[in-house]
Amino acid sequence: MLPNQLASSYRDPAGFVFDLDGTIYRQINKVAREEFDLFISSGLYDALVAKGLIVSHTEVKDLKKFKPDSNRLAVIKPEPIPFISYPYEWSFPQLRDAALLTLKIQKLALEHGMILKDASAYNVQFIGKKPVFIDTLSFAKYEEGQAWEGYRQFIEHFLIPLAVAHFSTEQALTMLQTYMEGIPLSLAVGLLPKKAKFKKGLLAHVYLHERSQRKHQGSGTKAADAPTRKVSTFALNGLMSSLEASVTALKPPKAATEWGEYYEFTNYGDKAFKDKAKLVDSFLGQLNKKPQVVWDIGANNGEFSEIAAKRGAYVVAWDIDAKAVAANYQKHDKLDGLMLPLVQDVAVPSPAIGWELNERMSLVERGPADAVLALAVIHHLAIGRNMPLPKIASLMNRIGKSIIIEFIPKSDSKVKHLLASRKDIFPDYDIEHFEMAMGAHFKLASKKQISHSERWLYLYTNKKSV
Amino acid sequence: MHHFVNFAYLDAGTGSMVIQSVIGIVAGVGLFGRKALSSIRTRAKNKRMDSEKDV
Repeated sequence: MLPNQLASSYRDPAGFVFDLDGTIYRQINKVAREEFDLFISSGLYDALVAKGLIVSHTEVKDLKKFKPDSNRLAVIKPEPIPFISYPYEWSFPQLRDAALLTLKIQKLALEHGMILKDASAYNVQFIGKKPVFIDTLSFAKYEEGQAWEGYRQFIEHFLIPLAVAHFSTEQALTMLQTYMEGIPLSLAVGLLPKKAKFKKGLLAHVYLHERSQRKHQGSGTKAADAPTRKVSTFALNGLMSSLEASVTALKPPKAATEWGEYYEFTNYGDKAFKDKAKLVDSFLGQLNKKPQVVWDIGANNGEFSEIAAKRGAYVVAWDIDAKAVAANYQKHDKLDGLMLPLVQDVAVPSPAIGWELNERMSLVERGPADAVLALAVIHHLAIGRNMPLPKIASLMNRIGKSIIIEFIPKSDSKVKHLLASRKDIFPDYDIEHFEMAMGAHFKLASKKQISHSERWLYLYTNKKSV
Repeated sequence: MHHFVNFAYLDAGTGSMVIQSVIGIVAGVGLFGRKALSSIRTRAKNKRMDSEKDV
C-alpha cells in the first residue's frame, strides 16, 4: 500500500483512492485501461455527470508530483465530498435512494454497453441530501449473456437491510455496522417474518436466492466446474426492473419513535423556542472564523441545523432517532445541498471498523467540526446515559473547535421526567459543575439564558483558537 | 453453460448467478406483458377518442 492510499480503497485491482496534501485523487491502474477508456468513450461518464448521478472528475496531466508507480495508467481528481458517511448512519429513505441510484446507474450503464462490477452501498455518498455514485472504476464492459456479479451484493447491502427495517424498525439499519459487507442471505431468512415472503420481490430475491446459494455451495471446486447460466439482456433488464419494484415497495415502518415528533411535544413555548433560535444564530455570528462545517449532534428534524446552513455552513445533522433523521432528509428546500442528516448515537459513536480497524473512520476521526451544536442533548447524556459532565466536555473537545451548548437544569420538566423513574444519583449535575467541566477544555465566549425558560445557552471556543 | 473471463474482484456466488437468470426471465416476461397491455390500452383509448371525435 502506498503511504497515502486511503484505508478503505484496496479491494479493486483497477485502482485506488489516495490523499495528497489534503486533496483526494484516484489512481487508475493499467489493468483497467480498456474498462476506463470504454467508460469515457461510450459516453457513459458524460451521461452520468449530466444527470448528476456520479461525482465528476478532472484528469491530472502533471503526474510528476506523485510517487512513481509502474502500475499507473492515469490519475483523476474527483469532485470533493464534504463529509464521508456510511450506510449504517443513513436513515431508511437514504438507503432506499442509494439503492435506486445504483439501479438507475446500472440501467444507464447497460444502455452504453457497460455493467456495474459491484453494488456496494459504500459506492454511494451524500452531498447534502443528494446521493451520488463515487466509484469511477465500478464499470466493466458488458457482454451479451453475462450475469450481474454485483447481484448478491445488491441484495445484501440494500434489499435485505431495507426489508428487515420495513418489518421491524428503522433502527435495524444500524446492523450494517456489524454486517459491514451486507446482511447475509442466510441471516435474512431467519430475521424476516414469514409474511415477508408475500412482499413484492422478497420471495425471489431473498428466499429462493438463499436456497440457490445453499444448493450450489461448494459446487465446482475448479472454476470450470462451477455451474453458471447465461443471462440474456432481456432477463437482465427484467432483473433490474424487478429489483427496482422490490426496493420501491419497501416503506419505513409506521410506528412512532421517541423523537420522531419531538418538536410537537417540547416543554417550552413558542417565545422560548424563537429566543433559542435567535441566540444560536447570534452565537454562530460571534465566531471569529465563519464555520465551514457544523455538526448538530441532537438535530432531530433539523430545525436548528438550518440556522447554521443559512449562514453557509455545511451541516451534518446527527440524531439518534432514524425517523427524525428521515424527516429531515425528506424536507426539501434551497438548503438541501448544505444539510446532511445522519443517524448517530453520540453516547455510542460510530467506531473505526473494517480491516485493521481503519477501513471506515470513527466519528471522531471525521472531525473536528468548526462548530458543534449540542442543543437539548446534555441532560440525555448526563442523566439518561450516566455520562459524567467531564466526560461529555472531553468528547466535545474531540469533536468540535467551538461548541454552542444548552444546559438544562434539574428544575426543567424534561429533566424531571428523566429522573421520575430512577434515583437521582447525579449530585454533580448542576450549572457550576457543567461550567467547570467545559472550562477545562474551552474558553467561555458567551452565556445567555433562554427567555421564558430555565435553560442556558453557552458559546465555548477552543482555548487554542482565537 | 457459459463462462466469461474478466477481472472481477467480487465473489458473486454461484447460486446468485444461477438464480438471477430465472428471476430475470420471469420478471422480464412480466415487464413485457405489462408494457404490451399498457400499449393495447393506449391504442384502444386513442381509437375510442378518434371515433368519438368522428361522431
